[in-house]
Amino acid sequence: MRLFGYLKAHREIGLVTKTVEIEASHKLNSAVTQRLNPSLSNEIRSTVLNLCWDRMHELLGCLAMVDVTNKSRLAERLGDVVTMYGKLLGAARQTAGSKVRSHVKSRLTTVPPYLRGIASNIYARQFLVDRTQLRRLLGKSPSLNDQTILAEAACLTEVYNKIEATTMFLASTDLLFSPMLNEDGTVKSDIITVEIRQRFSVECDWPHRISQRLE
Amino acid sequence: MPDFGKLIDEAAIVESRLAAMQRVGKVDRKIGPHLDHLVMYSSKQEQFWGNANPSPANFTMYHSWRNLRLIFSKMRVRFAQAHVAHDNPLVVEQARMIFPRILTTIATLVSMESDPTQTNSDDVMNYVRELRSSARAVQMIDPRDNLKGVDKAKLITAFDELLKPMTTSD
Repeated sequence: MRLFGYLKAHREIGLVTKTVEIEASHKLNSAVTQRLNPSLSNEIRSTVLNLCWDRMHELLGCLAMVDVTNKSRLAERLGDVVTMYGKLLGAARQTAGSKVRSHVKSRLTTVPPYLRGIASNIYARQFLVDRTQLRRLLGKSPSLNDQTILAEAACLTEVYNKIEATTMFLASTDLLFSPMLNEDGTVKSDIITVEIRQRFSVECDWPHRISQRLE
Repeated sequence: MPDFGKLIDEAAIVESRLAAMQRVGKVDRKIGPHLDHLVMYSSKQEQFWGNANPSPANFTMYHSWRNLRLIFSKMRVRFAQAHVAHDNPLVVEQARMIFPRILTTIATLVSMESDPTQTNSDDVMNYVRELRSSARAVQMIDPRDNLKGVDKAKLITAFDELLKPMTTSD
């Protein structure tokens, strides 16, 4: 079942914040204005955008709109999020050539000399594959809105866990939150996702994987 | 230069007539010509921005005026048919519910007309999205009107194009 189908059937568990709604809307606007062929008429673009907006509102209608009322806590958590991404960016910069070589060298100590040539290539490749999600930070940083969304999720996790043990999922296709997947759906790289889980107890994942976990 | 003063005057007349109608609980048909003016004005602005150079800011203006035109058109039809459709006085209450958002949107668009910068575009889009959503909730916009006269084949091509990047993963 798709995530929204599940959330429609279980209306008490899906949440959305104003920041998420505005960010989703920005994404739709920029897709229509920037991704569509420039030769398309404004009328077609406008019609597409209205259809997307209407669909978005239908989908959001099965979620509860919530707000983080404790703004000072939100500011603290946002600071934590910014710090985390800063540290992760530092770690991403450490994946340059010399670090790969020192990592490979440390692993080769137990490998028989006749296999070292092949093994070093495999270790180097694996080192980079494991850090693919992390290395995305070198090309793209999360926007302030994205970081606010994560901080809001972290605050809401705290609020709900004071009432009862709760797992907070953050459904996203943004690879600066959710793990990178292989073509067969298995996890390829998830260093950022794991860090978010450990620091904020928020489970970022793809919508279809969350719905599988909920069913 | 469009006569923004006249537009604001007409919008203010509609707002005050709506308030008067709500007090007596009855539709006043005299509101019709004023709504006609708002439909006509929005339509002209829609055409103007539709012919402007393609840019995100100009598209924002076009899209906003188009949605206002769709809302005013539906409002006009509902007021015209209120007596036969037993829509009296619900239509008045529902029109009043969305009119503050309409006025805010018009005021923002008028101020943007002179300088349609990208910075304001996102905010304007949000006003318009929320206005459209409120209008839908009280049947002051018909989603089917969005598709009227639109080339369906081109629409499907646009959706295919929009969905293409989402199906490829990196």
